[in-house]
Amino acid sequence: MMQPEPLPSSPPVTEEAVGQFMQSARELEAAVQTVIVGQAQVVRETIIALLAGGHVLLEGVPGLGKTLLVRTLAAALDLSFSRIQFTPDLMPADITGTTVLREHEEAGRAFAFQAGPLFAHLVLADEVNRATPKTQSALLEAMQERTVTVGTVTHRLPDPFFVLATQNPLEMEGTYPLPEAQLDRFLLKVLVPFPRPDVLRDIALETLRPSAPVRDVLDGRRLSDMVQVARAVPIATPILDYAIALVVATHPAMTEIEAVRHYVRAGASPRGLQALLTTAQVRALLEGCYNASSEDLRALAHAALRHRILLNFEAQTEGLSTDTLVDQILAQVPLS
Amino acid sequence: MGLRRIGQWVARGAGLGAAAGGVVLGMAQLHSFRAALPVAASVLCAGGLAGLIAGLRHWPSSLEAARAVDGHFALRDRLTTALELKSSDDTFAHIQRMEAAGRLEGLRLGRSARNRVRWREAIPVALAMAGFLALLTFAGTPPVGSASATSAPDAQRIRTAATFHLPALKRSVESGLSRQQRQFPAVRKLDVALAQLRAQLLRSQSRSAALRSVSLTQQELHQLAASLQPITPQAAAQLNASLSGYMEPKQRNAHGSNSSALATASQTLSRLVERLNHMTPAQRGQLARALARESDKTSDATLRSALQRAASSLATGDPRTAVSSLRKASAALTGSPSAAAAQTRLNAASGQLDSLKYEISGLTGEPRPSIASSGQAGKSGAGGLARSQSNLKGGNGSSRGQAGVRRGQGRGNPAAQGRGSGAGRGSGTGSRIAAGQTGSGGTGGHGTSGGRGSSAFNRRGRYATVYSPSQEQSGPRTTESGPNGQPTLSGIVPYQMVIARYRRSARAALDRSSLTPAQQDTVRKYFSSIAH
Repeated sequence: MMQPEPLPSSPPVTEEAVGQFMQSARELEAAVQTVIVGQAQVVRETIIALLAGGHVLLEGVPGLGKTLLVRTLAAALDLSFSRIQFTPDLMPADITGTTVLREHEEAGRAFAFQAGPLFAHLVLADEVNRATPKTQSALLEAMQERTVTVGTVTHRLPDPFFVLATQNPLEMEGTYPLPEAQLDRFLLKVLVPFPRPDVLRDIALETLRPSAPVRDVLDGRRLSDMVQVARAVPIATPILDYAIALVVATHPAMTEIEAVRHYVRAGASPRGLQALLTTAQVRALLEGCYNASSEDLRALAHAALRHRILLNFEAQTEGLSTDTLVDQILAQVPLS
Repeated sequence: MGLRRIGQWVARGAGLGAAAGGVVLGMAQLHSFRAALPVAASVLCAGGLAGLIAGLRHWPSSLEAARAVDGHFALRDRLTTALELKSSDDTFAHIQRMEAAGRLEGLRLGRSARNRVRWREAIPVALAMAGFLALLTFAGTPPVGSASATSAPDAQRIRTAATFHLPALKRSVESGLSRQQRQFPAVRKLDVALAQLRAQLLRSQSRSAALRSVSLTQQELHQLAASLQPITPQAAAQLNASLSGYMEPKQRNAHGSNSSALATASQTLSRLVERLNHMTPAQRGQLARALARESDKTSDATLRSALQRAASSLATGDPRTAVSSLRKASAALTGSPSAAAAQTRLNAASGQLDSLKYEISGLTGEPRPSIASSGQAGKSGAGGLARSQSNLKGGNGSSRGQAGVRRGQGRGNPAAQGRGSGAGRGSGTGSRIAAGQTGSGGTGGHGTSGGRGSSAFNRRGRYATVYSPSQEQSGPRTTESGPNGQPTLSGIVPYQMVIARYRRSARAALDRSSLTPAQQDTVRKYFSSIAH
């Protein structure tokens, strides 16, 4: 059984730590953007999720750079990285690891735990919706509990532990859409849009050039420190109330917003509120502000809530997206 | 920000107060409520005061102020957070406060209070205020007929009469008057009387009170008209002819038209004054007797009085008083056209006020004289013949003035489909014997319109003889003579004085009576017809 060494507890937040956070975050963002061209918001939201200590679900059509983004992040972070290509025949043991019989010269034969690819700081779950629910559930436990249970033994995953999953919204044949419970485990769901023509030109030029290696910006210890720093960013009561109001407004039984009452089957969970607040804290620091603001909440509301709102059949038949509903919520929920 | 908040609340309160006040004013237009205006104003003030109190109670907290500043200057909630963390010793709180303070430097926080107008609130408040002002303007005058006994239609009719019909009446009556005639005292008194009537109507508590006001004004106008005694051109011409013998031939004036007869007679009297000092006592005595005769012949009281006084003064050897009296007579002759015009307008106004009574009574279907088509004075009839014409289509009437006053009804014109109207009134004054001399024929009467015409084709008018005790046509009569032969009028009561007294009594009785307007109109017309 492999037990990763726990990182020492983070020091208290100091002015220096805050300054380092801002500098390191900017460096990380700049490093990633040297490779990922024209997807600034995707990069920003992904980094925010990482610095908030959460997992990210990247959704976009093939070829938009989702996998490249994760790989670039892993390269810039100087963390252990593993990539899992999810397929229908992928079994839970394939990702968590399993117990194998090993033979030792002194002790003879004994069972030993062979860690799977989940045991890495940064895990890329490529096309996560192609795996069976059984395998997806194994991933779910790892994401939430940050542990893996094999047999009767629970193994702790390394810290920091980030899962960056990707999924393709088009080829839904033979896929297993992620259940709501598992979607909720992702801190943010980031949509990767098709780049604009001018961005495509930059991408083409970047492709023709020899690729420059991405330098390490952060290690695991500093990343954990940054997560702790971000958690300390103050949030004023009116801002907290506003975040609560936004989440409450996603629930059809608790809101007066007609569209929500008409098209939503289930609203965002309390974890959605946590996601809003923690990501707002990180974004505030990235924006050079020392407090979370309503602007941060509004900027991250789509990414934090879109996968936590469950639409009903009527909304699906009308082709309504959760982003549209979030827009209406933002427009109608007053800032206190 | 606090002041803005107070302003908002005051505006809200005033808006609510204006709405409530508007309701009060609106209700007052439908139902009687005398104190509507003060109550509405009080409600408005109370609303504003309540808004002020609410504004003070909602004085913005420091957190609200911080939110406003954050929002206005796009401070990303820095001030809000700093305010909340002001007592925190946390590192982040310290950094955040410092950073927020740095951001606030140089900002004019007062600008954060200048938010945009909230149209959703401002528009209803503005509408309420505008509605209140409109109602206030509409009901700016004291509510008419607001007494509980007055119904809304009555009040509306009285208001309409005071607001529209009375000014129209005034314009109609005074149309065609020259500037000099408008300045004539009687015309000015007419203006004042109509203005007072309007004010009284607007303050009227009931229909009967309004009708009483109109009647009193009519009475006043009648008295005013009766007090005017314009000298007729015939009398002036006769005076001129009688006195021309006392003038030198070159000074004798020849009058061509009736309009210049008054001026000619006035000039004659003026020149007579100039010649008075050069007359011998015998000539003065003759002049005194001539003046006495002329004073007896004229029906004008002013001229008669002046001539009598002049005759008496000359007879008693008091030329100074005689000069003064003659000048007064001359002035009376000069001002006579204006007096005549004023008298005509006064009578017309009095007649048209009858229509106003119909309006106020709501008897619009009753036959009545029209304000816009009042009758004009008929021509003087020679030898007592008077003919009247009505402005109403198809109606005409004629009467022959004989002893007393006749009242006739005109013939209907079939072209007017049976609605002919016109009343001819003629009056003639007969000759009488004064100081042993026989007088000539009197002046003709004049006609006014306003009667009802028969609808029968070519039907002849019917006449009613009215007894007038003081207008004797002929017969022996005893008069007293003064010491020098001039007549004295003791024991003789002028007709106008008597009839005015009768008319006053009749009008007072009408005001107290419960006669219908049509019946009242009949009585009123009777007294009007015998007034001349």
